[in-house]
Amino acid sequence: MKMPENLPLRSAYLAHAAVALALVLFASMARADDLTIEITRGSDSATPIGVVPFQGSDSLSGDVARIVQDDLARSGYFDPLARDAMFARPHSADDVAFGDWRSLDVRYLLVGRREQNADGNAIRYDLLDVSGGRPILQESITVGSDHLRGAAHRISDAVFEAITDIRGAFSTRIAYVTAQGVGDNIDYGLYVADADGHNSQSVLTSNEPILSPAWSPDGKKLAYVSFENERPSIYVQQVSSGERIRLTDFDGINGAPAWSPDGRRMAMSLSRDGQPEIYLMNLADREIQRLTHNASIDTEPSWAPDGRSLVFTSDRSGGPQLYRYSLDSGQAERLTFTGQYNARGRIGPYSEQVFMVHRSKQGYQVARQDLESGRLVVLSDSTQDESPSIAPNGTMLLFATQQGGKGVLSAVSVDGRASFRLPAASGDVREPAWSPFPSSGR
Amino acid sequence: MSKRAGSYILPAVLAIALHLAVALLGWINLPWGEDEPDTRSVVQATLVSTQTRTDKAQQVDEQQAANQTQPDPAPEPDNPPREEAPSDLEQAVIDQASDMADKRREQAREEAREEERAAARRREKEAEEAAQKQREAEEKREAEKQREQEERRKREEEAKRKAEEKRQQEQARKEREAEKKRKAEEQRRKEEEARQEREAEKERQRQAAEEAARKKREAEEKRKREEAEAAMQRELEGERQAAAAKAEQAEEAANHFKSIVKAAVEQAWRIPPRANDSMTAKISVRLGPSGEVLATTVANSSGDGGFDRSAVQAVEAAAPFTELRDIAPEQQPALRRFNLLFTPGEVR
Repeated sequence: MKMPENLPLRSAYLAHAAVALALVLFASMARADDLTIEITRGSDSATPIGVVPFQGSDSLSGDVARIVQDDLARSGYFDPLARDAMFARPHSADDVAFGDWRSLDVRYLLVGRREQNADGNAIRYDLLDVSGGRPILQESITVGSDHLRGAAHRISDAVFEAITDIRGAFSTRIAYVTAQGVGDNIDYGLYVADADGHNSQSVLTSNEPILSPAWSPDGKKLAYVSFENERPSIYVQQVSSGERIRLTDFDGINGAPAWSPDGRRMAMSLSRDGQPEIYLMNLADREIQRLTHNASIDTEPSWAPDGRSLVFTSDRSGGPQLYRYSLDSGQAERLTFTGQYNARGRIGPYSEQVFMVHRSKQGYQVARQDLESGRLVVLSDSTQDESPSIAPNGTMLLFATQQGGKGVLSAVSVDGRASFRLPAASGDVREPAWSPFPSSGR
Repeated sequence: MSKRAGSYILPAVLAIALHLAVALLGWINLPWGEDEPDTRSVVQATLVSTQTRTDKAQQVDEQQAANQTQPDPAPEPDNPPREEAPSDLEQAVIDQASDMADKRREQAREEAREEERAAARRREKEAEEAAQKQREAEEKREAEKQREQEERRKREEEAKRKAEEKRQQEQARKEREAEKKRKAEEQRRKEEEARQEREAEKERQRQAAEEAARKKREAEEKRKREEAEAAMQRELEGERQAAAAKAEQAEEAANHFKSIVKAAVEQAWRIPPRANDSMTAKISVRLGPSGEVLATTVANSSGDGGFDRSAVQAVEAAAPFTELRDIAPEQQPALRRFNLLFTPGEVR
């Protein structure tokens, strides 16, 4: 009879103890497991960056800081601060008052100055994390006065990579074809330029059409189709020397050359057996191997980064669609199912996406399809796009389109956020091809 | 004591011996006492013959007396020889009388005859009387014997009957007793049953009462316990409420601070173009007393350096979180260390 009286008392003690224990546990747990806040929202707007004019750049034949600023702006990743909004123009990290730049909501700041080093002219630059108030990158690059743009692009590459962790492609080059004149008097030219469209150089001129330029994996050669001998042939040309060879001269179409990633083979479209089919040529002995056997047109081969498969265009289903040919299995599978027209496929450097010309209700537009989900996203807002080519870092897509009745080059970020026109070259510009990273770069 | 006992032994033995002797004498004496009349009757017969008989008759008498005395020991068996004896005696007297008649036949014939006839008549009468007596005695004895036998038989029968009766009575008694016992047993059993029943009933009632009491007690205990519990609960509730209020206050403050941090960081976060939904970066943040960022570390990388940097950058761009100073000092330490989980869900 004593127990029942004691029981509530005891349980009371227990309960008090439990509460106390729970509080202690709660406190210790709270200490052990810190507060976690989930951040799920953010801005997709480009990151503000201040690129302060470099000290002494006036003496050079160009504005290095401006070139860098333009590079970063075109990438779509950065939103450079207008120069007239800057309170101050420091040239080294020591001179930077972070608070000022913070108040401008600038996240990063690039400052630089010309200096002389043992090799001659050099540019020393500091990339600063304004938010963290610390330098990220401090480097000096040697530059000849005539290679100022190249030096600027290298700075852009370094800055871009330091912040985004993505290798910059500002030092890469592009190739494109121009057509000038009317009627039968049309001059065709094959050009190579910096990725920003500047510094263009003629590689080849011809009275007959030039098509489908393709870079070798080392970025030193170009393959292209020329009609200079009345019918199309594939040529391979050394960019620096202009030296070239005719690779193919088969009956019918010899088109769409594509270097394998290892540079040893070339995929192409030949109609020597009837309608165009995909072939593979061993460049060492020029032996060809037919890959597709089909009654329909198979063309525009493009290599996957691993070199084990090819994407090509085929109308075997009625209209042009993209297919992927596996060199391992010798089988082709259809990739695109959205819309009636998907052509000129190019697989991105991370093998996650395929880019193409897609005919939408608006017209022919460059588009991206996620290879895993199959979801297709139109990237451009133009309507007569053709020949998409991907930057080697996979951030930008270069393509030809029409503006004012003539062909121009345009670029769009692969997420579609940013786009820009390349500086107008003379004539009708078509068939752009973005070079790989320079082989000496890494 | 044994000594005294020993002192009695001798007198006792003597007394017993005396008694035995008396008894023996008595027993021996009995035949003698009864012999008297027989002797007298024999003497009578001898007297009769003495008057008329010869030596031979005397001898016969003596012989007869001897014969008579000899089978004396048992008085009862004495009688039959005596019955026959008169017949033998008669013959002898007759023989002897005829012998003597030769001499005084004529003389005595008549008288002898007369006498003989008288004697014969007398003898006859006597014999008849004796026979009568004998018969009577015999009859009497027989009757006596019969009677005795009858009596004995009766006694025996009586005894037997009594025995039977007794047996029957005994049987009856036994049966009665058995019955009685059975009945008693039955009664006892019934009583026992009744008692048990009563006891069971009593037990039931007791149990019921106990159960009721127990229930009541339990109910009471339960009520008390519940009251105690309720009181304790109230007390605990009070504590809990106080703790909860405090915790709530702390949580509110923490939540407030969290929401400020969240909003500020989200405002500052520039999601890199290449980011996708599957990327998540966990950034550990340590704040100074004024809400300034002392350190940011990538606790869990998204695998994309640019994404991680954007997250760190967002925190640093959003800092300082001066709202920390508005929070109660004791709560500040808990809020000066937190994690931020960056996942691009929504894009502004």
